[in-house]
Amino acid sequence: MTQATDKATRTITVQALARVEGEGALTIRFRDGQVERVELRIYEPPRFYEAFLRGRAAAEVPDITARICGICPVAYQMSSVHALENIPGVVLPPELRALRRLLYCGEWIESHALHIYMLHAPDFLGFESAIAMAQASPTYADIVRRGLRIKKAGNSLINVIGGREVHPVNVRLGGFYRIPRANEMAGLVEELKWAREAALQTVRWCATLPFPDFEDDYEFVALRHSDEYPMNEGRLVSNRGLDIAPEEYPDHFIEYQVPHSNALQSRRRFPCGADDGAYFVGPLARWNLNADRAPALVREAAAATGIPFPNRNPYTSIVARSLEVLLAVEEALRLLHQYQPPPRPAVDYLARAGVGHAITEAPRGILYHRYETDAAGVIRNATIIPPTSQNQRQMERDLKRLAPTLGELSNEEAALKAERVIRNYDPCISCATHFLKLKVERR
Amino acid sequence: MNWPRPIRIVGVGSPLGDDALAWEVVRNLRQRQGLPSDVEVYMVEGGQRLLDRLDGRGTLFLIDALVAGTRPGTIHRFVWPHPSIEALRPGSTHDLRPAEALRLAEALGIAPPHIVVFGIEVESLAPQAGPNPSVMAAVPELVQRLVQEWQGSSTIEEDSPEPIGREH
Repeated sequence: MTQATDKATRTITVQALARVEGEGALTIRFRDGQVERVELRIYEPPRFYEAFLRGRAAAEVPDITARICGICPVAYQMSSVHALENIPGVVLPPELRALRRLLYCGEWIESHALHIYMLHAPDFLGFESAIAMAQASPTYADIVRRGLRIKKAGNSLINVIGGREVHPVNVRLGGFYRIPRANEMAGLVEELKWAREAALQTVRWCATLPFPDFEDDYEFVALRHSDEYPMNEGRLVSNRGLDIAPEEYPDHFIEYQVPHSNALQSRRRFPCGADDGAYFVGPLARWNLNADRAPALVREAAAATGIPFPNRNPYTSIVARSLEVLLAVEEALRLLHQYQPPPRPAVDYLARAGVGHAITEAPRGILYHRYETDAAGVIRNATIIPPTSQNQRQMERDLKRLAPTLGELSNEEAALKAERVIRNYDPCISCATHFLKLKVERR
Repeated sequence: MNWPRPIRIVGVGSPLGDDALAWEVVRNLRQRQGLPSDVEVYMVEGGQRLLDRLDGRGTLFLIDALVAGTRPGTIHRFVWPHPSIEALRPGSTHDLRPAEALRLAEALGIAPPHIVVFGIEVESLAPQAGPNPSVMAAVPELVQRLVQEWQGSSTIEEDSPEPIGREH
């Protein structure tokens, strides 16, 4: 951390913004006490996934894209497999579709539990880390223990359905490679019943955290499905009237390069509010737009928090995230209860030339994939727009709003407040390409 | 020393480049004839998974790559807590470093009473086609030393009493 002491200018550099996924930096520049510029810089080198997918067989894509992220590999598998199945028009039988939803539940549980307990809750409670939190008292140690156990329950689901916990290997175009046995699935139920109670406790606990007042008029964007809480499919909607099919995404959203970052950012092509095209994806957006699609247990838990939803305070995203843990556990138990091993692991399909799009709900928000294949099913073009790229412009806008309150704070306090704003979005900078360093410049 | 049972030997790392050395040690141990029933061998990719293997009992032997400026393939042995253990594995936002995982395990009451860490100097932690032969040459010796540890025939108390290593 450095600080220039000239009266007119002041530069604060925080070397590492912790508890986000990936490597990046943040610069806030003040001139004459006014915020001049906020730049979220992602300097982790680009990973060129879209380029090296070209020339690969479509069948390889779910396993390659799963490697983009160790926390949300299922999301990459789901968006890629759905986009590619849309080209030959594969329609999955309901039992295989249910199995994919169950796999996604596993990822929501593990990713959300990790973020709530290990990365985000320490912010609200004034701990440097989850380790410091666990060391503080037996009560806090129990809380961390609970979070890790919930996470493990999610990982076990991924292990059984996906073949292994990290970078699962069982998803293929048309379905799965191997169908889980009924006894393997039955073995998950007891721990998930524990997790349902633990998730209810998590919702109650998250609702007691102190939320800074930080409301704004956001455009929340999420999938919406006709009769279920969205994971794998639905139309893309917003609180400002957006209602499009996934294939219309490029007509309404644009990815663009900014000089200060290795990651592309994304914005609405035709901004319709004061936020200049920025939009908000992730659990808070999903819950704000889809609470009516949640099971009764989860809606009742949300009502019991006393926190009004839809909610425009990004700090309440931790509550939305906790509601989604409960939802994913409840969904997983429902699907496991109905589980009968499908007669076939996958449906056949014929490769053909075409273009396929898909949007699925990664834990951090919508993940868009587009593929163009030739007649042999070889990838000619690939576009992957991860949720963190989509939230990045919104994060910068939040930081601009926050910045005037940082002027009188010490470097450490300023960095922590800025980090807290960023962690509301659970950014996965590795996914967006891409550890955050904070630099505050005052001129 | 006769280490309390159960003994858990846990390798940490990815299967890529020099990081693969722990995988090789684990593979070697698992293929060994006559692995005692109270010796368990695991491989984990990072600190969080290490927590899954701990229950507050017995002895943990941890194997990890180390960058300390010594000759590649050099085997360092530390008894927890030891400052050099902090130098194992760069910090990752996706996971806990081994030292962080061990501190969290202590806070959660699941750290075993005895923890010994073997750190092996690597040439590079960058992913690459294969591990460097200089590093992999340490595998047979490390396997032998682990066997001596669980047999109670090791006479070495601590190789590296002074802190070594550097942030990397």
